Amino acid sequence: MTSSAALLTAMRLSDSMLPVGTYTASYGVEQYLNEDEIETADELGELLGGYLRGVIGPAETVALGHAHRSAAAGDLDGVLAADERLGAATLPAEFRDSSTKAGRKLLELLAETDGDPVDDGGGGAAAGDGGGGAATGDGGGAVDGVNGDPAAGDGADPLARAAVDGTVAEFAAACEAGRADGHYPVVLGVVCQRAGLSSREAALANAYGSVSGLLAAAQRLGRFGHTAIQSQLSALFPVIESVSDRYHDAELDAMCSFAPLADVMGMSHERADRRLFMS
Amino acid sequence: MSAADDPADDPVVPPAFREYGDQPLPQSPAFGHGKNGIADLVLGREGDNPTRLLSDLVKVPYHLTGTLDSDPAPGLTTVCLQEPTGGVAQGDRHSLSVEARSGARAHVTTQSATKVHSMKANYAHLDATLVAESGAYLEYVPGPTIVNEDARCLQTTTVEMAPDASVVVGDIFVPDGLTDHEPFGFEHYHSRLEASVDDDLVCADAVDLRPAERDPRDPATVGDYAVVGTLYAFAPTAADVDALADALHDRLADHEVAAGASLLKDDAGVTVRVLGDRSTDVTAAVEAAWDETREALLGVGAPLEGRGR
Amino acid sequence: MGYRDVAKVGLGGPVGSGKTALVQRLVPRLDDAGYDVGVIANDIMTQEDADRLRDSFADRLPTDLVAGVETGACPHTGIREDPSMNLAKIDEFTERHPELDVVLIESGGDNLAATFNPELADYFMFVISVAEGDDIPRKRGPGVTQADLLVVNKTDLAPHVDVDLDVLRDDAETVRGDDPTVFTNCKAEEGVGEVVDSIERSILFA
Ligand SMILES: Nc1nc2c(ncn2[C@@H]2O[C@H](COP(=O)(O)OP(=O)(O)O)[C@@H](O)[C@H]2O)c(=O)[nH]1
Ligand SMILES: [Mg+2]
Repeated sequence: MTSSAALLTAMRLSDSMLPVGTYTASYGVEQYLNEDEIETADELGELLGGYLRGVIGPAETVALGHAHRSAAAGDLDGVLAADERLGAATLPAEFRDSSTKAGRKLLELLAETDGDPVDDGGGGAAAGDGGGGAATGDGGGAVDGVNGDPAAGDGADPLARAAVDGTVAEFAAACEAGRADGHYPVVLGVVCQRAGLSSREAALANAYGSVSGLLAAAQRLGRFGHTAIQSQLSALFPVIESVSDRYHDAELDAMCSFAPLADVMGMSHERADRRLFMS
Repeated sequence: MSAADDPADDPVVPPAFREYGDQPLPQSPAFGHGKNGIADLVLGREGDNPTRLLSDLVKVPYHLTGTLDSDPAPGLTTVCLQEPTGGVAQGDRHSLSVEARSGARAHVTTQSATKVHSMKANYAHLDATLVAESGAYLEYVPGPTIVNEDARCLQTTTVEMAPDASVVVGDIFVPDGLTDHEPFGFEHYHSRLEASVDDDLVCADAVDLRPAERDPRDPATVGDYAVVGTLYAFAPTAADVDALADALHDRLADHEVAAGASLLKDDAGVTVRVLGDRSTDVTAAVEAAWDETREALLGVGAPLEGRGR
Repeated sequence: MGYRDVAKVGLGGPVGSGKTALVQRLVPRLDDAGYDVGVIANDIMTQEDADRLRDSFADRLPTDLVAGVETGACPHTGIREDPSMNLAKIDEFTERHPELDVVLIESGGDNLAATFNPELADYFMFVISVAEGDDIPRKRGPGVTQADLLVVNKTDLAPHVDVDLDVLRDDAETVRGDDPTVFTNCKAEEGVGEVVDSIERSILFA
């Protein structure tokens, strides 16, 4: 894998245009704003810092890291264990829903856009992704059978291989069959491993995607200016890095998730009279 | 036997606590010297008869005063464990295990709060294992765990249950008991509750707090609150857990706390989170949630009057 | 069974043009014609709205075939760039009701540029009302020009807002070419039959 291919994949997966519904999730932020618990941009930043240190790091990143290691070893059971434990550690039902909806949509999306073998150099696999498929000419037909060693091909879209790969497809089938829920960080861990990103890079992509998504949600709820939001994003970078470093290789059973006030907000949001977000 | 005999590779003990466990315990009376309290209880019930204690193995500092059959729920027996030493000290290992056999109904409680004292070395471990067989109904609603300045406390709770059993667990965490000003003065508090229905993990609620490293008073964690309570109502095959979640949420609306209720993974029951300024407020809210849960699962409220808190 | 196995009708258009009113008129007719129908409304916002919508179909549809989808204050994203959450909801519908024939998806009220993603809607209707003025078609917003069917609602109000329906009709024809435009008055159920006919002809009989 070329370094630019890895970077492009990481960017694609953490881009807000990735159509997996993350724009509908606020993980309680909407409730904080509705209840006037958060009023200033700095308070918003503190809230997200708390999410990073209490949930995104010790729960999501731990699950993602374990899923990544399991995918490298071709160990589907390990992936399923990460998925089960992350679900069990997430108490507000809406948070679980937002996470599993996005995770499953990512699996579906990859299967539909990158998964179809390209029969010749001229025809893209699917709308919107013809560039990757056409450029390689190998598409899904030339998937590397060895799980632990994602194939490298200059110019190839690494996700194209990941999508039809054994572990990703097996995990998607397990979700389909109801044996797994398909939490987003777990899906991301598996997909990134198959696409040749390291677990630390995958952790960074996940944490960045979560933080930028939540900041954008807060901004759409209408109280913060664009420069204030960018300042908070920038100020959170060191936290994103430190939780990714600290937790990406942690043991699965060391998973913790502690954000009781966010839990209460998420639980209240489920029954909120007025809501623009799914969580 | 002292804590230093703990197998270093006990999987429930996280690495940080294994390290603390290597620290020798000074035989100083001021800080105690590590007591291994054990209570192994087995409860059974025949038909509609009252639930009976089939066997009990109890070692100091645990003390069992016997069982009470005064609970309004038919056939339900109350087991009250006492801890006369007045607290948990460095090196203490408390291990409670309760097995509710098929159809048994039991309520297990500690009579008062558990105070985890300040420490200079080692750590304290409070472990509980709750097993509920088919049709059993088991409650474990102990008093609050008060974690004092410089304490290191590991609390592990394991629930294993049949799909048609019910298990209700209450947990109240009070950082420090002495002053309101600096409530997060303990060194390390790690608590995890894991619940499995048959072999499926439905809840793995875990917290790891080291306030000196990271202050938990941010808006995601505890905000301006000091006390955190949780009620777990595991009832995988109960008729209408959705309605129970709504009822619990509504019930806590006029308490002096921030609280919410939500369905567990796999709809295996409901969790209720409560944050408050004072231990009494959080305790009242958790007990109200317990009462509401009982009403839904057994059709009889909880005996709140006798709890003396 | 999944979202690909049902016909999906998207209703877009500005706030208050009558999308919900039209859905409420369409459901009984499609139901009477023997179709199993589901309804998704984006951005209901309040619990009261959700209850009202569900109640309005109470004697026609199972309550679990009437659902809201929140679009995170991005109504156009929900129907255009990223319809995944609407599709997920349709998947839930088909899982519970494999017999489902058609789903009506009402967009949150939006601007004249809002269009439906062709993978979300097999048939896209853009609903405007005369109350917004008779120059709407002339603006050639993508919603007006690209919809499979343009619905001009509230014709009963035309005299009250000084709108000439003939001007509207001519302009619509000019900007939409051969694509159809229907005039409706949802209050008096006028024109609704024509909308049903168009839907049937275009996607249900096919
Ligand atoms: N006079 C008149 N009012 C209508 C008509 N259709 C809808 N309305 C009213 O217009 C208002 C907005 O309609 P609604 O369906 O909620 O619009 P939506 O925002 O597009 O869903 C409501 O008060 C409706 O009763 C119509 O054909 N004529
Ligand atoms: Mg409407």
